[in-house]
Amino acid sequence: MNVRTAKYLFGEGLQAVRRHPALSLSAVVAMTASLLVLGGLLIISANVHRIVDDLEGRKEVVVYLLPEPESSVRLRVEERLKDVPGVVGVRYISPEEAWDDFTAEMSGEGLLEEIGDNPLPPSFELKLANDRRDLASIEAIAGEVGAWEEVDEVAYGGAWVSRLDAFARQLAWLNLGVLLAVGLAVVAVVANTIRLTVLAKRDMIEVMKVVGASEWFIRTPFLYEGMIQTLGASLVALGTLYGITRGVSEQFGGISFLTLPQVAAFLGTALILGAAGSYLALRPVFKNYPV
Amino acid sequence: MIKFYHVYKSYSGGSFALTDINLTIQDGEFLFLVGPSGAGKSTLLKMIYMEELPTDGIVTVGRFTSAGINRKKILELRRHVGVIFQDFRLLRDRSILENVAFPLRISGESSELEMKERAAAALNEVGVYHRRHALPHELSGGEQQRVAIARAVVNKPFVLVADEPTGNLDPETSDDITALLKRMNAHGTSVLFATHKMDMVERSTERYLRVEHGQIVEDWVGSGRGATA
Repeated sequence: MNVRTAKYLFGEGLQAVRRHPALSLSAVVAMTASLLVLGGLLIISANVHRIVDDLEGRKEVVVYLLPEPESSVRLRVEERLKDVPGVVGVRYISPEEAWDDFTAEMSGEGLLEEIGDNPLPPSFELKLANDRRDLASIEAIAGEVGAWEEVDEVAYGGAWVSRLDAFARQLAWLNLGVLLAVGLAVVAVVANTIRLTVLAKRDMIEVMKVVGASEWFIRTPFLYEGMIQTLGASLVALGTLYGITRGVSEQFGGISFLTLPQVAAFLGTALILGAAGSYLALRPVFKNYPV
Repeated sequence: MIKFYHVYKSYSGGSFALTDINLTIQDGEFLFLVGPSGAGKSTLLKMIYMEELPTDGIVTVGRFTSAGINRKKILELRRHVGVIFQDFRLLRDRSILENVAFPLRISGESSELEMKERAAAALNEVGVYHRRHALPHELSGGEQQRVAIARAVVNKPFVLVADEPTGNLDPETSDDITALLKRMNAHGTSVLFATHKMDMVERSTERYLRVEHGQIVEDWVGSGRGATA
């Protein structure tokens, strides 16, 4: 297809939208409603994911050493910890630092006088790679490190890590489910709208077939038409959601809009859905074409 | 040259639209297909631009043959065949000039200027150049059919297939359109003209085929009886 033909076909798609403004508008409104649901859920889940990520960032694995190790032992354990797969950061906490933290948290409660000397052992705080923060990976690392003779105990938040994992998984499934449902709704709206345009243009399609137009020459303007409509609907949906997010954020704070890559993915998905709807609408037209 | 070799066409349910059609149409020939509605004339014409393919037998149109033909070849064939319908089938939402330029746009071989020039020349040839900026509904039936003829010949086809081109026109306009198609034929384009109007054929001195119940029952040359001087 040469540039002139491509330009012509795009112009045809654009004109189809302009020639049937009421039809296009009703399609855009229907699609906007579906895309608002999708976009709203994406914003909610992006924010929940951010919170979960923050929580996951606090998933702590603490390795307690036996009391009063030689400094060479401490260094050796630190080196070994760095070599454990999935460990991306190791921070040594001396008994003194641990005591300072503890006293800072417990000050004024009269308990410290009872304890007397510092009973806290030296420890290491481990930072885990993103893909090793699930419960099974944490348990594997804890099991391996806990077996070392210099190590007294490995502590981690078992039950709540498990609950957090389950919640994140459920959210991902919910997202996928809504994406599928909304995707189908958008495809159906586009397909029905394009079907009406196809009906209005059946003479033109017949003429195109008789003079030897290829299937793609006939399809392309309709494809553009579907994509222009979904693009319009997704821009309206994104604009509305941006306004709502800002309003809520100003009132209550802490909610952020989609990131630029997420916006791009949203628009891309909408365009693909538009193209898919248009493709489906024209399938009967090309049954056995060109015969 | 167009040839039909023992061509049959049947549809699901077993009804036959065409039965054992054998036919040769020479280059540059003018041929009437005459017969009542439902006789099989349109099916026969559709086989020439291969909108229908034979259930049995072979159709050859120039260098194209129906046996094992693929989609690409069919589309290529259609760019060499001009088709005219009873109901004109002009695109309502664009000008007469755009309508005629449409087949050129589809073939994608000409520049914008070339397309307009060729479309204008075709409109000039059929006598409606002065209406080039009008929309189809602003034209009379006869003028619309002239535009349809211009659209059919703009690609310089080697055959013109006209399916009841005068079916919607009054007798005087019908004669004009027939004369125009004969003029196209005089330029070397073969013309196949399907009609149910026997009187039109009788007034002519052209070859005609009478089709009934999907069969050619008469292959003859018009007597010119009743022809106007």
